[in-house]
Amino acid sequence: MAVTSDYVLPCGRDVEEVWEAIDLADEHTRSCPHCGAVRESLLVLREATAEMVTEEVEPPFDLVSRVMSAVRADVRRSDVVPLPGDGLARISTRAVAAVLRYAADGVDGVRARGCRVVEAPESTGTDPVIEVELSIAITAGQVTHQAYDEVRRRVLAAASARIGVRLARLDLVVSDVLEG
Amino acid sequence: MIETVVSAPAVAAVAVHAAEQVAGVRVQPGVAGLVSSVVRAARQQIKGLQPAPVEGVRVRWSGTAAVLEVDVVISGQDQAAAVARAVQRSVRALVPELTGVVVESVFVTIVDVAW
Amino acid sequence: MSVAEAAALDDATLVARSRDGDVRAYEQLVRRYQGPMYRLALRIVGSTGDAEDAVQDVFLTAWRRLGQLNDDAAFIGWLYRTTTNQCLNVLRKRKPHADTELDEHESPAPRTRPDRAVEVSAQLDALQAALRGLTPEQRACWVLREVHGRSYDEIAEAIGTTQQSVRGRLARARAQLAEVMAPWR
Repeated sequence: MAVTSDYVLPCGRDVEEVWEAIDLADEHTRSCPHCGAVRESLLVLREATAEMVTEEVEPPFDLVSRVMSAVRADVRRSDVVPLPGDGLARISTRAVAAVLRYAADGVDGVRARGCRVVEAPESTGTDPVIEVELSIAITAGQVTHQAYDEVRRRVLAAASARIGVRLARLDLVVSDVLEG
Repeated sequence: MIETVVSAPAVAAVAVHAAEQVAGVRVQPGVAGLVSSVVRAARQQIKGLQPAPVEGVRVRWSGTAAVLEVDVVISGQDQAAAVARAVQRSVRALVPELTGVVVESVFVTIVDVAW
Repeated sequence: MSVAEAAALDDATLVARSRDGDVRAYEQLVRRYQGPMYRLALRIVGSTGDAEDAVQDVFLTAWRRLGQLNDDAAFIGWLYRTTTNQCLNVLRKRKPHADTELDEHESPAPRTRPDRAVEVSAQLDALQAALRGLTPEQRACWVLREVHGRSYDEIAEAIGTTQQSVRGRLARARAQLAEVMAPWR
């Protein structure tokens, strides 16, 4: 495929063709001084490229922490739930989700996947209420329906004991089954 | 008579100190944390990228009283609601004690839980 | 679940959890991809300060835009495209005589290879210098293809052009680089 005519050698071939044939022992390249020279240059280029591929340049050590600081601070108005009290304290839904996922993870054979937390319609500043959809992955053979009851129990307990809000609705979704 | 004017950053610094007196609490710096040096901060401003004005605390004035907003990360060992109340109490107590500034209200946002 | 377990999770799971607001999962993603993105940025923009800024902005933007992502598996490709785009924007905004800015901020990467160190380093330096002689788009095409192994399709989307145009730029870049590297034969 002739891609460009900018770099046509006196023999009629272009550089890209020499590149595509670089490891082939073809008649023309062996005898043509132009192609031979270009091929040598391309071999050098290839070697230097290989070095660049394995070059060990690392980003500054604190790049991750700076990014994560900004990420943590990036909480939108809609992503918070009031905490009971004077109405001046609130918690991000992401923080609530983390706590509830952690609670569910405590049940053998269960791994929390996604956790969506929203403020319930009946929620007020003095009596905050949430609705949760928790998706979990279960390990086949390890989990019985009692495990689901246990997950519900723990999540409900965590909402009140670890956060301080009422959980009005908990939808459990098994989104994946892992090999036992 | 000399009037002592307490700057917002001074109030903010005391608020951070007060909040972090509560077990498991860390005040969460914001986008300003993305900028690594004074020089880079200047470059960001020139480019029009204003970092959020925060080291996790915002100070507004209601007359001579301060209205404070604090963003925190908590450790998860204590109940979130209780920790939030403790932060409010601590800030309400320490800011007037160390700066003489009256606190009108303390608004706490728990942005994350980090075990 | 411990942090160690989280670290072993595959990209798709980490992306799914991040989309959910799981900050710990996102941190794993950042740790996993900060290296490749930083190296990509550095090779396109040529200065460590600009590369750092670009990568930070990309990861923060990625976090905010996760909700718009339909396919968890598409996240990494999205990262490459966004980083490339960000870098090209940085280059476009640079004043014409931007060499001074490069001198201020560029710090040479430490060479860690023990054997053939001197000869091999000079070769790599020559390549880096040669890359600066390419247009931003040529450089981006070449780096994405030859160093990061991205597909033509992906490169085309990253640069905002056609696959044919990518092949053309790649060919021109290669020819020009070969010419500059010739003295090292």
